[in-house]
Amino acid sequence: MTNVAQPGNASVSDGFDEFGRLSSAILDNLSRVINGKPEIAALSLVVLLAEGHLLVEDVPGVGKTTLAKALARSVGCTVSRIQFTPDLLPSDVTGVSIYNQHDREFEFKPGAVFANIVIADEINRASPKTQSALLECMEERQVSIDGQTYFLDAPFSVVATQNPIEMEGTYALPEAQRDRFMVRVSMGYPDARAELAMLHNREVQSPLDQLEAVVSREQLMRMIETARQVFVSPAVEQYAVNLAQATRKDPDIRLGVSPRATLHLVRAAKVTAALDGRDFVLPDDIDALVIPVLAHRVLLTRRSLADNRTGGAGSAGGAGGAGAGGSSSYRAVDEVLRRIVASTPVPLVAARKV
Amino acid sequence: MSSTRFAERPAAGSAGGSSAGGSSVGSSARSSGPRSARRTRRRPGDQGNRTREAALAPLVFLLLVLPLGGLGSLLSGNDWWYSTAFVVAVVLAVAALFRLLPVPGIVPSLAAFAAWVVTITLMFAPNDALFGFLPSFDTLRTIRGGLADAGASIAVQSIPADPVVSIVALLGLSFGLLALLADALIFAVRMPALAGLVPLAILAVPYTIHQQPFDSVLFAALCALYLVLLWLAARFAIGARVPEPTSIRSAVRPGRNGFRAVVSGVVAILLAIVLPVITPGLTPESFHVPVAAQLPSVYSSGVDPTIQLSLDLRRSNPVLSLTYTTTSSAGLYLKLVDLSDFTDGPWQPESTDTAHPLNSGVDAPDGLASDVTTTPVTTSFQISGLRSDWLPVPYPVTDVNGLSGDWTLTPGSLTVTSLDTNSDGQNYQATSLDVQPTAAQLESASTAVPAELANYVTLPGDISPFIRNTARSVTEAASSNYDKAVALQKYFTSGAFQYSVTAPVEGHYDGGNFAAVATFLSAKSGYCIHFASAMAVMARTLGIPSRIAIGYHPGPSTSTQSDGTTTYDVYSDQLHAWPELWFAGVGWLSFEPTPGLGLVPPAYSLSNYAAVSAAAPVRDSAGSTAAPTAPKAKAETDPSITAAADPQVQAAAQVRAWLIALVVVLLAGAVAATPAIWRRVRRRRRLHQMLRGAQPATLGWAEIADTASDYRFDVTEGETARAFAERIGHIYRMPPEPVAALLAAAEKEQFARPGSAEASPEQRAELVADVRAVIAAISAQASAADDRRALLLPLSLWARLRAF
Repeated sequence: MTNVAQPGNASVSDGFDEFGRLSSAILDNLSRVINGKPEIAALSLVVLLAEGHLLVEDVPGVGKTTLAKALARSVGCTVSRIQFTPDLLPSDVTGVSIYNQHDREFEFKPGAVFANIVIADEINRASPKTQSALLECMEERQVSIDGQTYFLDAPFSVVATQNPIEMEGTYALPEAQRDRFMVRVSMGYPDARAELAMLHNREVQSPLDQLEAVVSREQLMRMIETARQVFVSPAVEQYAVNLAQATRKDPDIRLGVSPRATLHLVRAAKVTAALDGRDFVLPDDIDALVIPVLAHRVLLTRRSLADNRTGGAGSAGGAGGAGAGGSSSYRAVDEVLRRIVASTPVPLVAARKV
Repeated sequence: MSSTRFAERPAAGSAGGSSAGGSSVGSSARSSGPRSARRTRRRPGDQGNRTREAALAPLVFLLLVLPLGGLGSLLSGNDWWYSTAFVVAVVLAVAALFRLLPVPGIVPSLAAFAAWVVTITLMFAPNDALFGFLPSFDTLRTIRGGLADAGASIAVQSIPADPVVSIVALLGLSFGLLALLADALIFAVRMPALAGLVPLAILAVPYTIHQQPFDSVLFAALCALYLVLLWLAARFAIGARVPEPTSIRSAVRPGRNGFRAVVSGVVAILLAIVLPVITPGLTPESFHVPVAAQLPSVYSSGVDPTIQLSLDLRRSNPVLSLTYTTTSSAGLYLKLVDLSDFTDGPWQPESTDTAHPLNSGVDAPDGLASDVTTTPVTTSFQISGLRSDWLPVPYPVTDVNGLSGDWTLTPGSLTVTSLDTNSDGQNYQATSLDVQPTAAQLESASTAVPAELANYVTLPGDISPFIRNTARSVTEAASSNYDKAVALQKYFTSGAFQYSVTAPVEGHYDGGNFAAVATFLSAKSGYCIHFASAMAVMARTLGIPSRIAIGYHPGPSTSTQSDGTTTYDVYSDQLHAWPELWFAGVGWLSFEPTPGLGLVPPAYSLSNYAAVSAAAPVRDSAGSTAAPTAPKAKAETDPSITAAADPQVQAAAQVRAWLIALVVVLLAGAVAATPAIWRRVRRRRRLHQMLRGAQPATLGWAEIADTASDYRFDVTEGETARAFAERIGHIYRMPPEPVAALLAAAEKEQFARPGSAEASPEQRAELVADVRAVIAAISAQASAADDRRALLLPLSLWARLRAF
């Protein structure tokens, strides 16, 4: 590891130094709250720095909300939280114009979405209409009400949680909307040691309360900027495109990934490279992100599902059927994606000149 | 630096979004995991394995006794087969039983050896054994004596030999040892493939001794058995190097090794069958061209000449001994040597004490008076396949020229011999006389024996009276010596006697001595030497000087030239013996008492000679009654025939065949070495290119990947360099610094901003050193077999070819 990170010039080098320092501070914070899940913490940080949105999906009580809160608290940004319920209205999310009798005009009351980090808890319990209001904000980064457009402050990141159990009376996110999330993670149960540590941690008080912001908003913006500067070589871009194309041609996949997915993949890979102290993206970065970034966007054929399904955990709603640690359909998707990654030529190895 | 800050980075990269995915994406499916390179050897305490190994024993038994059956063409009867198979079975069974017990690997072999010793002792030398079964020094002596007997018996007997006890003992001894060897090769040394040499060795025996049609059914059965053995051995993990390949090739599933073994075995057998057919110089025929060992070696070895003669007669593949072209109207009896000293024991060729150099002139034939009509006959000889101290010449010879080397002539018998050279390859001309005595001249020959011929009528005193009595009774009606001789010949050729090459062997009266003659006269079955010696001995009892000539009978002619000469091919199975009887005033005359060969006795030896010669008194002095105009069609084929028979042409053809074979071998070697050379050249070019070309680290990494692929390490396109480095690091302890440096440099070249990774010459040199270090590390940890395979069959070339 002698010369892995030697960015080209001094300023970039400084940027990467700061990036590394701050990101490890954030990860330290997260690891204090989330016991034994460093990869989940890292992924959530990647999403935040890549200006994407995170979908955390799992059974209740495994720390979805805690993760979202810890992430929000670690950065000195505005945080809001919406608990989605069936009677939640779109205006509750986006805000509403209220007639101000004193000023005799309509006055815009910003909704919960006007924050740097929005925690959307149990997003599948709200009605599709409400979901759509949030999802529009996520993509557009703006809110349009009564002909007036209000822009959301950068950075803007939504951390939504979804409970795949108790599907009755809920509205699981359809594929088109899942596509807007950069990464989906499943928390999974902690292992025995982590669970034990958790008991000790939370005996007296929640460790969440002790968390302090380690990064200011400006610092966060600089980190995001640094990550944007990471170089993506044409070979790696081609590799990402090839992977995306492969998902669309694969016989096991009914619906391949969208171009937005390719975009997300490369953006996330840039952050991963920066977290690794590199100023260029490797195919390895792409490989590592294929499953978190693409898995929730592809739909398998029924035959492939049936072939891969070992247990009978299937339920209506495709990716919604779940359990902690990923259902069999998740595993099937992971398996297919792994196969695609394995069969897609990697630029370096494929480049033979002599 | 990054590694210290982001200790959890590698794990984060492999999060996979779910806990289902284990390690890093893509490579996890294929990586073999951190398996220790040196796997534990198969432990001997595994009961299931022991049972299966013991189950292989019947297979080994079949592999040994099936080719043993091939010896059936060499030995008569089949008792010997049962006893030998019994010894093999005992040895293998004891080894298998002991292998069922949890004992060290050497014990079963020792036990089998003990079983072999005891079995041999019990079967072949039970009287000398201690307590009835333990071998003692006497046993050793007995067995050694038996072996000597077997050697003598083998030397004396012809094919198929009579399986006397000593031969059976020899078979039991040697096959028991072979069984031990096969068992040890498979189970103790754990090289089951080598066990195939044992049946191969046995199978080769009958074909080396005795030319016979190839038994393809037996061969196929043996091959199938051998393949089954290989397959089972692979299945049961019997093999010295089973752990090695699995540690190197992550993709090899253990279950497929057996399949591979069978495939490679089949390919080897197919090659063995196909290769001789398509290569010009290696056809089976090219080995049939007489090599020195196959030449009839008449008398050159100094053993009993008659036995040597019988062996040559029993050759199943006669070889062309010589070709001669003669002006004679009939074929010539070509005499090599005379047997005249009839003593007890084997009859030896006459002494050459009186011989004088051939170039000092040829003596006149004994006793040939000038009033007997003779016709000179000129014959030119080409000897192609006869290695003898004696030269085949017609009797009586008057001149021999064209010989190379020093040759001497023995007066009296007029045989030509040499001490310092032999007949092989000689081309020479001989002039001889065709003696045509009239019946009257023969009738009137005196019965008195000159003093110098006294040797030719002496007989030991103790010869069987049966011979004398028979001779007397046969010649009762005859008065003159000539009539007696004719009567004797008639006695043999009148149908009472049968020609048989094998009967004397079966009746144990093979050879030339008085006992054999007596037995032959009562058995009335034998071959030329018996007829000749019987007639010669009987003639002596009647007071007619006689001797036995050994040489070639005329055989059929092959072609007649337009100039009146006739060409004859003489094969080794025309070796012949005939009696020569002496008549005063005429000299030595050949007789032909041997029936059954289709030979026409000389006209003067027939009882109606007087009547015939009266009708056509004398032949014209020109001598030749051969048709002056010979058929032309035959003549046209001559040149090719003589050319083919010409020894020099044959030798040239042989040399050419070997040259072609050599070239084929060299070409095959070159072809086999091509991949290795190509691969080396590629590596050199790459390393050279690394010092000046663009992207040195990428080139270096490609070289490492290719090397790994040469070592049968799966290199897939879908795997990143890092994942590959990690995977190979699980199997080989790779030097970390060179790998990391190379990897980082290569990644930078490939994916970083263009222009950011310009390597200085020092860095390039370092990278080259790194590449060499990594390759050396791989090679050092691979086994010698893997090294060879990587060198000779570099898979990376194949992958490159496939890429085009």
